[in-house]
Amino acid sequence: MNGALGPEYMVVLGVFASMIAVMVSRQRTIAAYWAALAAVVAAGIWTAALWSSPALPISLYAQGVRVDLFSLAIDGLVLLASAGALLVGWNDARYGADFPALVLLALLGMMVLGLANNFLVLFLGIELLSLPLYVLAASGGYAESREAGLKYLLLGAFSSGILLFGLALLYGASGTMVLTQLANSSLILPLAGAGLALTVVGLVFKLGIIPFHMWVPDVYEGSPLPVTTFMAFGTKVGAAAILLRFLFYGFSVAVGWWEPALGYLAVLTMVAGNLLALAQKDMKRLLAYSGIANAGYLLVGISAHNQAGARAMLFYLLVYGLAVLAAFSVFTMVARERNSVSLNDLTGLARRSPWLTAFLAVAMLSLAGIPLTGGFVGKFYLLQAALDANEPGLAIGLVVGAMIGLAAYVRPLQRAFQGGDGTSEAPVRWPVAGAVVVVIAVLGTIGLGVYPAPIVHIVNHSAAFDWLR
Amino acid sequence: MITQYGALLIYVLVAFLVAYLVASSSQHMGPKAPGGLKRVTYESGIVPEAPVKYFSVRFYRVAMFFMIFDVAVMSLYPWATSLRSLHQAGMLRVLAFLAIVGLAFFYVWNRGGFQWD
Repeated sequence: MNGALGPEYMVVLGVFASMIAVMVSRQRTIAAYWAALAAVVAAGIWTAALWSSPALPISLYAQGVRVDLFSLAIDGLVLLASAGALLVGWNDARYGADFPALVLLALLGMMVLGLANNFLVLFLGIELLSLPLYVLAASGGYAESREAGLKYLLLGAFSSGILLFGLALLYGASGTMVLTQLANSSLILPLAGAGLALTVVGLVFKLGIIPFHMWVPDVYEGSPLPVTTFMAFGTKVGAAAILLRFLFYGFSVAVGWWEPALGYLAVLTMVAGNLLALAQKDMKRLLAYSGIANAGYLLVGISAHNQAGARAMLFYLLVYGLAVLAAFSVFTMVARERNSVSLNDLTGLARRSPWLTAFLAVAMLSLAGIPLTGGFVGKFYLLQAALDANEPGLAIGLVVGAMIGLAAYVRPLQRAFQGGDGTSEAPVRWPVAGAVVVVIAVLGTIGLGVYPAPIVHIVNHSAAFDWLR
Repeated sequence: MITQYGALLIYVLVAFLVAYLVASSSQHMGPKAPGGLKRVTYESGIVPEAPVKYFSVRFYRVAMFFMIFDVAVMSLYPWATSLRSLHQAGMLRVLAFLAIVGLAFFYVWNRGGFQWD
């Protein structure tokens, strides 16, 4: 055992600590936030300590979970996402004292998704991730938030049903629940094909791939800003991790069944997602469509089905997450009491708060993939993976999508740098917690663009799937 | 191919036609009396005794908490039936489980989940 599941236990303890803090403390909200943040930091330290453990990879609970360097990398990413979400919404009474505990529960689901090696654990992770997010989406207390929560609940329950049906068919067709025990010879054909299709549909629904993306913009727009931050980064990491686990560990035995379909979905998502992002006036909707397009980029790494693809996907998750954290923390500062930021709110931001605009510019340019930001390096690795896999179509789709996306991301910047005389409105106020997030995220984005070698080293070790080409 | 299965096709068509005719015959031929009692919310042919009242949404909350804790405590029965063979390890795990359920119960209590107003 030797503490391989330590990070997960830390998060569980954090949930309890945060709940007890709400019950016993007089300043219940701030106490719950500190307890949750302490748990996230402790889990992060434990994850880092496990990295060089000689016991890995290790399978536990009758091969139900598999702790390896891949799961540790996913742990690191989702811990970063939840720390960012906690800090963006730091001590905000609007979201209630339950916010930190719910974030930690969803975080636990994402960590379980990184470990899952069994259909049941997979489904457990998906539900553990989704149920707290339904509540979080509705936690704003205003009408749009409730609508977002209900919409997410209904569509999420529907997709969970599809996923569960697919998993049941797969179990019937293969006779095993363990991903690494699937073998091509033991699959009963039409049943296994239907099961695989339904399961993949259920998983890409959570990832927000076109044509299963309809819930994404509405839910992102209606949810409170810290929740949107968490969903945009954390949920993407969790869904991409389990899709990669499921397809690379389990269905490497039947690549021909899913590789072409995912390739077409990736190209469709990259192009259509960026085109839809062009038309958005609300910043949350813009980032929602950007999240859809970026899920398409992630899918390039998966459908390339090689080691380079898996590495590029992990690297891109970090790059995308840092840019999203920076952008959303800037938007949270601009929005203040309200819960949305439109293009008009950004007019003249460069005169009001030059530093904030600079940080927003770095985040947007990274999402667009401009050199010297992490986004460029991430897209470069994805392109390389697509070409390594002899999939020129994927590479062309990626480049076309990125070109359209550039126009979408430059529009808010153009608004920010024009208009405003600098005297009519006071500068945007900086809460300390949000400032920490934005500075770390921007430094990380630039650092990954200039000197990606350390992270590339980590990613290469965590995605060393030597059974792939 | 077509000639082989042509008879089957005709059979399927006839089957669907008959099923449709039987099912829709009451709509085509039956008498129609719109209005009156048919406008009542839960139309059953019986005049309601009092105006329709909806349940308070609080019942939903109570029902949900009952469901959660009831199902959680229900998991004790399999443990209780195999109490002897599980020894001390089973006892410790059940105590941990009860601690978690208890924490959740006190959390709901503390946050005002059991208050009616």
